[in-house]
Amino acid sequence: MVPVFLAQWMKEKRSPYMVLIFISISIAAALLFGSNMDIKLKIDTFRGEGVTVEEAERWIDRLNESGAFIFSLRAEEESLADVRQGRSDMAVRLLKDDYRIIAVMESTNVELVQQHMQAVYHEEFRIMAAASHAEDELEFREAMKTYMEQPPLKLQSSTSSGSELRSYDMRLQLLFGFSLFLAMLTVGFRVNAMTAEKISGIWNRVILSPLTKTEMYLGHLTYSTLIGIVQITMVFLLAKYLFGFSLGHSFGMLAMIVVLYTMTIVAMSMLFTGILRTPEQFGAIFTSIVPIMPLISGAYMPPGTITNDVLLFIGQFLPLQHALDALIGVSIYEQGWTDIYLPLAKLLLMAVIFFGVGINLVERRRL
Amino acid sequence: MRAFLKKDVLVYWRDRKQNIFSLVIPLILIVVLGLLLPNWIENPTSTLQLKAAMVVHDNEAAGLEQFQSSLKSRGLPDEEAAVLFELAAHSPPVSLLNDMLKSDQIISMVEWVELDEEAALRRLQSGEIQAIVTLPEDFTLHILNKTLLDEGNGAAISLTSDDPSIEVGVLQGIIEGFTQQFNASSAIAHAGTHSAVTLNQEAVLPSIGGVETIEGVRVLTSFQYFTLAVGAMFAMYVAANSANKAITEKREHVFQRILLSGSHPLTYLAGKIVATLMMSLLQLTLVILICHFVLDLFPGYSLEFWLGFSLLMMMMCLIVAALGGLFTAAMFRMNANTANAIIQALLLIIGVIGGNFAPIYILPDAVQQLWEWTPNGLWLSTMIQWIQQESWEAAINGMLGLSAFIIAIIALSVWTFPKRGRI
Repeated sequence: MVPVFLAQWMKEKRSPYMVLIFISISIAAALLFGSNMDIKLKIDTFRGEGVTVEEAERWIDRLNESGAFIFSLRAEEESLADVRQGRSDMAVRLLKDDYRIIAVMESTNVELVQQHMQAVYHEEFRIMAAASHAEDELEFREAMKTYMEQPPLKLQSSTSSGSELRSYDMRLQLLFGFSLFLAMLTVGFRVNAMTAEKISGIWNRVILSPLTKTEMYLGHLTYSTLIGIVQITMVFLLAKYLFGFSLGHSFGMLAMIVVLYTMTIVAMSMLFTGILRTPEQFGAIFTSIVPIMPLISGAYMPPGTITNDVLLFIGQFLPLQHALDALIGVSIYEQGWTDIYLPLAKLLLMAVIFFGVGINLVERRRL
Repeated sequence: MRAFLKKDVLVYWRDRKQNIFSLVIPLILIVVLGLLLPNWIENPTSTLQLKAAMVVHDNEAAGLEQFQSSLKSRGLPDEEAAVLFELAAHSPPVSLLNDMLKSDQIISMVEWVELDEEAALRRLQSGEIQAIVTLPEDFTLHILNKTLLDEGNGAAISLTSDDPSIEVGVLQGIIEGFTQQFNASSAIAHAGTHSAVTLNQEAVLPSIGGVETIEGVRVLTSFQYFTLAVGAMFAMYVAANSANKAITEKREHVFQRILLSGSHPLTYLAGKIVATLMMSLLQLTLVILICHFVLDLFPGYSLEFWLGFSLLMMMMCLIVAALGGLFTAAMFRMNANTANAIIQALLLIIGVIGGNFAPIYILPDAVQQLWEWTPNGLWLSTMIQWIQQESWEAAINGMLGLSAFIIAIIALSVWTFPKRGRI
């Protein structure tokens, strides 16, 4: 087994571009998501007739004080063009003490923005009305500000053990999703190299040597597994130490998940190799099917978006789904071994079945 | 060149099973995605559901009584005490909070259950409920003291949750909104009393705001988006396939024999490009037509629409053809494995950035900026604008950009392609 393993390593050293390219894409993806991804919705506003720039900016500052939106002042033409072309959901026309939301249709976002703007405008009107009765408006606002520093009603959020309540980190999910997805591709191509060897006749020659077939398979597969593990680990380490993602406290569990997942995707690639005949076919079909997997597993969307039963069912057969569940459970929800043993068991089961069927198919074909 | 074209078409014909496969997969994908994310383009939110418990330690009636008796014991004049008590009874904080939390809008999202503290904690830990909202003892009294008499520190609502999910975040936002409004009202009243304003004066709020809809713009449906995105992606895979077929030709030294026969190497490349054009045109047309008839994508659109649509489709296939030429050139220049890796990586990257693998609207802002800088992204964006608006101006702008891409890519492939005497 070791000579075969080393042979793969030497081949890699001679032309390491594929692995390097995929690792760099993973890192680039981590970088992309690690950058301050503003999950707030950006809204374009523009001035209507008779509104000065200062007035507009004053309103925009008030609107940006709270809520999940970032309002910014832009030119009317650009904002409307973006709405027409479908690039933004809506634009806001600021009028004198009034506003209009311009949209193509009333989506949920439009309603949310409308609610927020109503609340802010009404509050500001009440303040203005009350301040108009006061002798000194500035003193009025000052008095309000000091009062608000010690407000009567507060909200305290915490977890049941008393620590701080964190909001869901979508970036972490995207990071995990992408790393696992790219690992699938790298591993797939490594396993594909095995088919290439079969075609070029190397495989048959190695069979004639004292090496057993088991050892040959093991050599190739452990190599692919190792490369997959190295790739994912590198991305995780970079994410944690360079970009400051918090991956939870239990590295043992994370490592276990990564190892099992890599084994499962090696097995899945084996299955594909068994079904498809030539390396070119593998390349074409594998790269078409693999990008669908993160989509069906809901890796790109907040959890709970996918409600369709059929898709949830299909998702159960994808290793990506279970690995993602386990990883998120460990890093965000701080689950323990008892919670994640179920996804891990499913991964193991999938690995065993895929290996069995895949190797069987490959052997029977007699390349 | 005609001979090479014929050769390439025959090579494709030999592999027709694979071509049928790569026709079926995008269809399946489009259907799956369209079902998976219906209304994704129109309404990118999920239906949030949450089970939460209300734990109320405070007794509102008792709190009001305590407030009233404390007013008496302060020695305030009777009328003033009566006024203050009126205000307190008029809008007691707990009732306000309850009204808000049990309003129709919130009820559609949150299922409330009233429990005591221990039961609530138990259920939270077992996962039956996701959050607990707790009102502590003497809540009413503390709040009234602070708002009406400016004494004490007020009170705090506690939100407890072990589940850092979006739903809990939304609940937190809702309660924060309520506290903000409540505090602002009492701040206005408080600052107002400094300047002798009666607390009962409520400003008349003008009705403002509203939504204007833009006319003449259709909204893109998910099925339309996915048909275009997936169709374009698989068309680009055709380019990768052409390049892969070149591997066999490189290995079998077909190319060298062509050179020996005296043909110009670029005729070979031209044959490949035209063959890719034909194949991708066939593929894209079939995918879009089948989807149109099965999913009724473009019901009753005008002839003008279809004219622009076909023009744009042609542009996409030209891009694919150009890419095919580029990939073939790359294949001849480098080791096959390396070239393959680079091609796959490139397609992956422009596929993601171009919004072919996931709807562009859910990707981070930085990626969305790059969207129109990729050929497929630019094409998708132009197509979307065409469907929504049917404005020739926008379409021609897009086509100019696409032509620039095509010319650049073909120039690059001609430049990299090995000349006579190179291989």
